[in-house]
Amino acid sequence: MNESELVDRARQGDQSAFGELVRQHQDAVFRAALAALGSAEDAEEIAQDAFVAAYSNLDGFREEASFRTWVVAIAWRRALTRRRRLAYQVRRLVQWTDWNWNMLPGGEPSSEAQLAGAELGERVQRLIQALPPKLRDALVMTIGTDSNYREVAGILDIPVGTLKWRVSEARRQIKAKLSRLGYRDD
Amino acid sequence: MTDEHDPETTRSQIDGAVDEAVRRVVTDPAPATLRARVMARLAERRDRSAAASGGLSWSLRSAVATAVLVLAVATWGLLRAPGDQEDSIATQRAEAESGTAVATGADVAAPAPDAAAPLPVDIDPVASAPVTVAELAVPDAIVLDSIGGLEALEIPEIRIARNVALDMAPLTIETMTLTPLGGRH
Repeated sequence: MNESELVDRARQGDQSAFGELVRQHQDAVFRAALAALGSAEDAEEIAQDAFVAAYSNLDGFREEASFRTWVVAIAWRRALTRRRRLAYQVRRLVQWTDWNWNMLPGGEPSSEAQLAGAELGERVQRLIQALPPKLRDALVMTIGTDSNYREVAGILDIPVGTLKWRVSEARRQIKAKLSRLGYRDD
Repeated sequence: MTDEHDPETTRSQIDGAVDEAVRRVVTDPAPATLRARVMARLAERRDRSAAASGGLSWSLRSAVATAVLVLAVATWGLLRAPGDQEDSIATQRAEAESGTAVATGADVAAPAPDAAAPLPVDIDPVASAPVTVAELAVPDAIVLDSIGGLEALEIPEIRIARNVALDMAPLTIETMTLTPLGGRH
């Protein structure tokens, strides 16, 4: 059953059809929320909210974009709303240094190269977090999700050209800071 | 990112590190429980919606009952000719004087209403219950069933009915219907 048929059946109240849509797109929705919030716990909550909202508003889904892009956009907007809340920002500031560091490469370092690579990765992660939100969002959403520029631009509600510039600028800023830290782009 | 990467992006070590770092941040799969939790929330919403629908039906029934009562009272007020009121008062006075009136509680000792005095609107139910009940053209069952929904209404007849029902516990439906509108049983 293709996506359009699943959406039609879900519109008619078939929750199992909607469950299949959730199964197919939950990773993309979760990752978009995670990209915006940086907290897996918050991202899961936002992802749930987004799917529930999507189910409630299926009649408003005009299929101009894919269901995936539509529901990811819902999650993204909700995540941004949460990110803008003052209380959330204060909490994030407190937790800033712990932001996803558990995702850094783990395991036994077997060579200096691995150590150097892990160190570079950690530095890059910190620099990504230090980017202005607009640049960070563009970079993380573009690289971190399986979406093309057009889809990401639609989700972020910006022109494709603006998205490309932001991704490029994010990379440039990271490279410049790494250069000052002694890393050379060979 | 798929097929639309910026062609000007150089594939340097740092670019690779940036891409890798980003992927490490956001490419975790969704928690295994996500789908189950979404479906549970949808089921919960469906249950709440069903419960709310049932509640609405109850509210609707209550509203209909109240509307019927108000309509009946209003109709009675419109149809009741002034002559009927005089006849009713005269009838009650005659009944009181002849000892045939339905008497309950304080009404046993209550004096006969003064024919010259106007019919009181917010009449004291204890002192004048037979008059108010007799002139109430609303089915008593509806009155009693709807008492709870009439608190905010200021229609005199309903207020009287409420007072009778609430303040005069010994007054039963049978007593109230002994003297319905238009005559006695």
